[in-house]
Amino acid sequence: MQHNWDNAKSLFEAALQQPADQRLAFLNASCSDSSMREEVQRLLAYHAELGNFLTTSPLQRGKQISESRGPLKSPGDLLARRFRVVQFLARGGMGEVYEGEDLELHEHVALKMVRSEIATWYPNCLQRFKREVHLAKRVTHPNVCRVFDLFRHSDPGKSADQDEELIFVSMELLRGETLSDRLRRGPVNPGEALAVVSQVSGALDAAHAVGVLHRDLKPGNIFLSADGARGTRVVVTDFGLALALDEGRADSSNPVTQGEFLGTPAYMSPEQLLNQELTAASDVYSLGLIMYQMVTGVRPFEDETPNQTATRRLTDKIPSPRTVAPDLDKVWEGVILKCLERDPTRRFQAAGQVLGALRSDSGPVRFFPKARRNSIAILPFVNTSGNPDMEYLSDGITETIISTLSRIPKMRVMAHSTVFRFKGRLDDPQNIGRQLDVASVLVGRVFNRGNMLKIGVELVDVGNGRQIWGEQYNRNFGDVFEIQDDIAKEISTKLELKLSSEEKKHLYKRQTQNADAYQLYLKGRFFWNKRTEHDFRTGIDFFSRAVAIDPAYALAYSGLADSYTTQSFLCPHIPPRELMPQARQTASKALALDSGLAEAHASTGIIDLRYDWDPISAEKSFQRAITLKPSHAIAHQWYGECLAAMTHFDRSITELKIAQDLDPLSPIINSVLGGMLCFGGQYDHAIEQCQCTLEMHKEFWLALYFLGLAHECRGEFDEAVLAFQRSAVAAQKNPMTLGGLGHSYARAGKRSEASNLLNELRTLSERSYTSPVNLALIALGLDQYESAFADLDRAVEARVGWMVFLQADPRFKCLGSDERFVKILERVFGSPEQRRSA
Amino acid sequence: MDGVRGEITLLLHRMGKGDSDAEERLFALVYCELRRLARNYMRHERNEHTLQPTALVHEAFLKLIGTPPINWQNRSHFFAVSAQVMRRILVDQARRRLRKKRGGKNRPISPEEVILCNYDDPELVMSVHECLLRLAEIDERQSRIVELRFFGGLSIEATAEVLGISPKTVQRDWNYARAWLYGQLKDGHVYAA
Repeated sequence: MQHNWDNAKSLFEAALQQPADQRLAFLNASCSDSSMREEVQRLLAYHAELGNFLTTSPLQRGKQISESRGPLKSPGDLLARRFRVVQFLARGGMGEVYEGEDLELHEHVALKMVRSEIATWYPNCLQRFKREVHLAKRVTHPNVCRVFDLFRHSDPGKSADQDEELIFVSMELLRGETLSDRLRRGPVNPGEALAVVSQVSGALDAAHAVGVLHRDLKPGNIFLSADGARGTRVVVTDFGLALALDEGRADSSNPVTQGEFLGTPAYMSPEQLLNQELTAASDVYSLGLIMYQMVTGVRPFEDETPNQTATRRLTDKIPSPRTVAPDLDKVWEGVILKCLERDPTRRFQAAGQVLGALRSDSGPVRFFPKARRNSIAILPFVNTSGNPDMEYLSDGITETIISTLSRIPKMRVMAHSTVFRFKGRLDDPQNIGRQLDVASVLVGRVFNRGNMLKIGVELVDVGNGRQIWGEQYNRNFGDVFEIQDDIAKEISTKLELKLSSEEKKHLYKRQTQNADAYQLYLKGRFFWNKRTEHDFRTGIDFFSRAVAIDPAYALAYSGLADSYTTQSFLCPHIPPRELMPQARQTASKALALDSGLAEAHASTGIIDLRYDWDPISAEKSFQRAITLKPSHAIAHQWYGECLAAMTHFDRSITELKIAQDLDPLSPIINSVLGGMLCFGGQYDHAIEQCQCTLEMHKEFWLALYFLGLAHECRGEFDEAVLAFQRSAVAAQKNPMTLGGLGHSYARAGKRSEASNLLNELRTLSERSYTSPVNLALIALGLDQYESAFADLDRAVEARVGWMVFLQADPRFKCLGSDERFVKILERVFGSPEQRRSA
Repeated sequence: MDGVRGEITLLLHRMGKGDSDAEERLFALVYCELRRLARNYMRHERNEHTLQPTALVHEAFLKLIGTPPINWQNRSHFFAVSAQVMRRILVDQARRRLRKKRGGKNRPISPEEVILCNYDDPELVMSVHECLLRLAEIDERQSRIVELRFFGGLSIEATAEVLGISPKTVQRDWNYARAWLYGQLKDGHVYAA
């Protein structure tokens, strides 16, 4: 049998090599066994008929659900002979929501549709739906989304089979976003949080009063609608509808719903998880979880999966939100924890009581009463000179005041890149202050012509919009230092910051007495902030001229050091050995001139980390920098990178979150946070963080790079490749992005694309320097270990900064305990002294 | 979670040595995770995602293993086992569908079935499955090739990598196995239970 099979197979293959019309002759000539000949002939005939037989996996045919489940309806479609579909709005787990025009009443409504395949899981779906629309209609409250009516739609021409019938509900059309969208964008400020609590609790009370429980209260069901007369109108949606779909759970004979949750376990009360009786206090529990998330940014026990999170709420005591947000007001803490009592009878029994407990005699309780009082945003000073060339001066003065105030301990001063996002949009400083969650804002105007310098400032209380202090300076340009000192001094006095005499001395220490040098320094920073290769060179030129005039100007030396270091990171075609020694030299000079200069310590730390691969020394420098200047966002960011390099991921994230708090809109800090989350294995959070960053900064390459990496780590290779491709486009094929892209190609099985990229980079590297790490990454992806190790060796020789992440970057994990890798690790982390002397 | 990860690695290792208990256990773990994932996908609003069943099986695996299996040996196992898992899921659900079709208890379709079995031909799956059992007795390698290609959705090149043979060999075996299976189906070796 086996023998025959093998013979038939050989014959079949040989015959296939022949032209079709000669196969029969070939068989006759080469096989004497007639039954074998017939067998092969038959197989050849089948082969000719095969077509696509078995070429598509049934799973692939099942394929992309969202494709096959694309919107059910398109704009213009007529539904139930009454509604015209205007646009698709959203897709949920159960169905889809459209904006529709009611042709009878001539108004726009939301149409919520349940997909027929979902409807078939629930027996009597229609009846249940009807009953629940009935219930929902009983709840009338301005903060509850109004439900109008239920409709059935069958496509004309099709049978009225129930499976083909669409059931949909018409509801009030809301414009805005959900709280879930809002939370994804960043912290919720106290005003917003209180608005949500007060309006949601009103909605819940109204529903409870008529005997309707929500049962699935979650940020995705809370709408922030911009149509409120005074601020945001908060609207709770999906009242009662959750119940309709949830009820089958009690019926244990139903195999679909048995032991499953159709609500969202992430926001469910313990009694709901345990399938016990629900009361108004169950909705209060969900509200408590939402409050927890609004004030801390996370949910308690936010673990890998929603079910795990939910389970831990059953078994473990809820940790105080103050463990996450230490500055949270105690009243808020108490209220949240009371909502989250495991025993429903120990919670607030009505939602209104939650709100009541948050109000004191003097009005609502703020959630960060102490810490936030000491917080300020210096908004970009406006250049009123009518001369765009003077932008550097207004920007520079702003930055100098930020820098001075940043040295005050316990003071939260919003960083440069965050406040500068508001440049040119300063109409409503109070509102900006609210968005940044600071107690006060400083606005200023600068007018300069020749030697004449006019500066006007105004310090505004964000809480009530009143002016705390204002001043108009009309002086000579040479007085710029005194004016700046005076502004900083007034702010610290007006904000009642008690500074020790040592702190005061330190605060007002001037970096240079020379107005020209200062001006050049400001120009240098102006260009440094632009972060392009050309601007780095221009910035370096200005810094150099500043120190030429004032050779004791430590801050300008530190500016030079940062220019070289950052340029080395962003421009992988310049060998580190060319830029970094200059960085080292200028940072040392800055330190020698002023050992108390935070910036100089931070500059030193990042060189220790990226050039000497010496995280231990770097850590000391960063800690010193942060002690000297607690609000120095970049020092926190670099320290976070340093901790990640040492694989202390938790501490790394903590440090980066401080940086983010100080500089919430910085593209770099936000991207690096995403990257370090990914290094630490928190891929889901990394993806979320990178996407948030991309919402603020469209197509920012570093966020795309780490987004790709996180997808790759989750095994989502298609998404990974796409993100890296976008990153490469955004960064104009910066070799770093090509390395990431090549690695992801290889992992996605696109080996030829990966090889092409590798060859491209190889050719480039033969012509001029390019960071060998990127070559190594692609080679690793392709399992070409020999060549990967050769590239890594070259990267050690070239002292490439990324090498410090050898133990953190998940792409190197596959090298594990390979002897060659261990040797490289020894060379990288072995003896910094030797490297330095080399 | 770490416990499970450790177990998976061990199971993959044991499976590589032909331990069928290990295969059973691994399958149970992956299938369980897969159902959980599928339900989550259905429940949550993940409209930015396109859901591909193959990707879902891989995701289930990765969730269990922790990181993508990078070393060569494990990656082959990974694809091989994924294909086996998918085959079993498809067969399992095709069987149920056919039972329902023949007037068995009218059991509602579960969310994971909607995701995993959005195909229309349970008979084909059952027939291929049964013929493959016979093919495995005659030509083990050909049956594995069909399993990886048809159930696992792997390309010729990937199949060759998993089996450690050349793509050319895969292509030749694939041609022959397909013709043979086609004949079996055409000549009435059709699933009938």
